[in-house]
Amino acid sequence: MRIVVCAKQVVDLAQIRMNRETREPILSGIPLIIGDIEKNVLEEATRIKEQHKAEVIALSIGWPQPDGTILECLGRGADRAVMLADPIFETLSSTGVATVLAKAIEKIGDYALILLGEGSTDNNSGQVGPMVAQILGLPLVSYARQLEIVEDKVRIVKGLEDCFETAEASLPVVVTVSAEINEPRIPTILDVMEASSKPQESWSLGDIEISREELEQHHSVKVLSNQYPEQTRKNILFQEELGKSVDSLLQNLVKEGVLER
Amino acid sequence: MTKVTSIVVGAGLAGLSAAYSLARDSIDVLVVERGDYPGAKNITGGRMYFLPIRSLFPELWDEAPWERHIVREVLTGVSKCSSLSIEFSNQKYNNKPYHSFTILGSRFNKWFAQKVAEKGARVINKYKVDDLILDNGKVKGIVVGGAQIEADVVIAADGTMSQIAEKAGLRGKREPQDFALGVKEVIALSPQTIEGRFRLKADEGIAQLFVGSLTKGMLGAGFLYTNRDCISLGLVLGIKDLTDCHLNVMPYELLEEFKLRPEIVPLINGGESVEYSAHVLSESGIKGMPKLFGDGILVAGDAAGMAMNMGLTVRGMEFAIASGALAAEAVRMAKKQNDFSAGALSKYQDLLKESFVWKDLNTFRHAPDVLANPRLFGEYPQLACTMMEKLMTVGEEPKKKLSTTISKELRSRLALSLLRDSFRFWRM
Ligand SMILES: Cc1cc2nc3c(=O)[nH]c(=O)nc-3n(C[C@H](O)[C@H](O)[C@H](O)COP(=O)(O)OP(=O)(O)OC[C@H]3O[C@@H](n4cnc5c(N)ncnc54)[C@H](O)[C@@H]3O)c2cc1C
Repeated sequence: MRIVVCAKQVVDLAQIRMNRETREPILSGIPLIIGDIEKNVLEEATRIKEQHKAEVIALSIGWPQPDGTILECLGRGADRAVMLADPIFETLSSTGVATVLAKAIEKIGDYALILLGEGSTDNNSGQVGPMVAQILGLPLVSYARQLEIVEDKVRIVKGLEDCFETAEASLPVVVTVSAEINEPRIPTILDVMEASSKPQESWSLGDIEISREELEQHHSVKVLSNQYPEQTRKNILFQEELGKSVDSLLQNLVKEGVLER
Repeated sequence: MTKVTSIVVGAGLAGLSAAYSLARDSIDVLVVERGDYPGAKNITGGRMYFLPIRSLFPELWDEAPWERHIVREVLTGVSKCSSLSIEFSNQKYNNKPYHSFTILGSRFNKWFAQKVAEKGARVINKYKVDDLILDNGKVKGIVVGGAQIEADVVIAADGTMSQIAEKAGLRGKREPQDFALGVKEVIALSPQTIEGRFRLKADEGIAQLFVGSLTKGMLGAGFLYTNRDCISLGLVLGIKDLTDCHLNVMPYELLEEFKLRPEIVPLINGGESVEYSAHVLSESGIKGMPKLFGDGILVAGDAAGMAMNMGLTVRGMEFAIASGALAAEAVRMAKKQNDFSAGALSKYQDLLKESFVWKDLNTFRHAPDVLANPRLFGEYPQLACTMMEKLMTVGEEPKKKLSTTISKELRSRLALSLLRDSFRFWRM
């Protein structure tokens, strides 16, 4: 059984700082990591592999930058990795991403299970998984919080707003998982070392027979602005002795409407 | 079991230098660093003297992320409400090869690690080496989160508190006076602002040292270094004084007070704090060194106590880089004979003794005793400021003759100890 895991690279949100003048996030120099939900997806694939005979292939589209995300996927149990890198992906809409993934999955071929996160850590559109299923003409089960392979079917417990739903579908199938599905284990250093000797392939647009023009149609995302809300500070310094300063501070807070008398 | 030829614990300057040298000689090397990335945990003040290490990796230095080359040195003595600065600039500091540079660990080590990886070494971040595999006292590898990796040789480059050297039984007990604590803030400002405020041209930088009331009489000093687009500002405080001190002040409080001094406020005004860190430094010099080699193990950089307060300068970075490279050289020789015993690896110590590392540390071996003198950090800066105040101030009363003012100050205060201390400082 072949499992394809789609893993997205995201910038490490914990390391982002804001430019105070432009109010935009400073993205340069921030490393790319795999998102948290991808860790759940890889854990689930690895868990299945431990119970059934399976090969796990990590598929990632990103932009060319030497990074450790592919290695991390391999360290987290993928047997091999396929990387598609092109600057064009940076501004692709969800349909564009789904188109590229679907093409790559077709090229990988012979798939039984395609696993994705329910939404990515950064954009969280939640659209890519369903679109991949649509393009490939496969059944989709989304928001999986429990997954089991029973012969040639998957049995899945889905988390809905106010209830759980159990669904069954025949392989091949696309499944999007939610964070509740498992607790991703931390790879050992040996896993990390082994990762670098596992096969990695890098594909270009030509390899998946997709033209730049075709992708340009999906360049629908135009970022108009990406700024945090303006904050103004009054910067008032109360320099009298402590008791008086506290009084002045209180008076000012009341005046500003922060406190009520 | 997984086995490699060599393992470097810690991706600081010492570890990266060792790994780079090994990989360059095509020796299989694995670097294990507990930080999120190399540089994440490497705290330094910020100035590296370039000439001692220039010849080590000449192919690297042109593209290194140096911040600014130092063209001006300032020594400032501070008292409660006044300060006296001595400024030294030197045209020669503007000529290549530059004499010294400021660096930021978070940028420099990240870049260095990339070069190490390009040479073929494996650098693994986010894993802490917990223990050594020991067999009858011989080091056989490392233990990381329960997983074991064997190696012919382990280079402990894990910084001042080196647990690896301790686990290998190479280090004895150490005392509070062997250590200082550094607290540091990095404050972002635009390059233009920095150049304007400090009267610098592009790429030029200053190094400023502060002694006096800012440490409240404790052994220690303040430092300020200009980087490309930020300022490193911090304090180094003797741990013995900090723990003994009846003042009961916290290092971060002293740093806050330092930042509020009128000498500092206009320099950092409007800047954003982008890094805050604290780190222990070794202060004991050559006397505090552990044993540098054992069966299957070498110790380099701060882990080997190769950092030192030499009065007007803290040095450790060049020692780290040079000792790492020499450790690698010893490994290369050991590999040729396929003998990684303590006897074979002792070559490392021989190499060190021929190098500037040992020579400098040896020359300055008395520095810790000379510097452990509270007058240097309290009374003398105070004296200098008082004297200047008397010389410079014109009050209502008729002004006294200069010689009277000076000799009165000197007589009234500490004249003998000043002479004695000056002499000791001179000899250091
Ligand atoms: C505040 C301050 C100011 C200084 N100013 C200067 C200066 O201006 N000029 C100068 O030359 N020197 C200065 N020094 C000294 C200088 O920074 C050090 O000597 C030098 O950086 C030491 O490098 P190192 O590689 O030996 O150690 P470190 O940089 O400490 O590197 C050790 C590495 O090992 C890692 N590590 C530790 N334990 C483990 C483990 N168990 N498993 C995995 N990884 C581990 C750490 O995360 C770290 O990355 C200053 C130091 C401080 C603290």
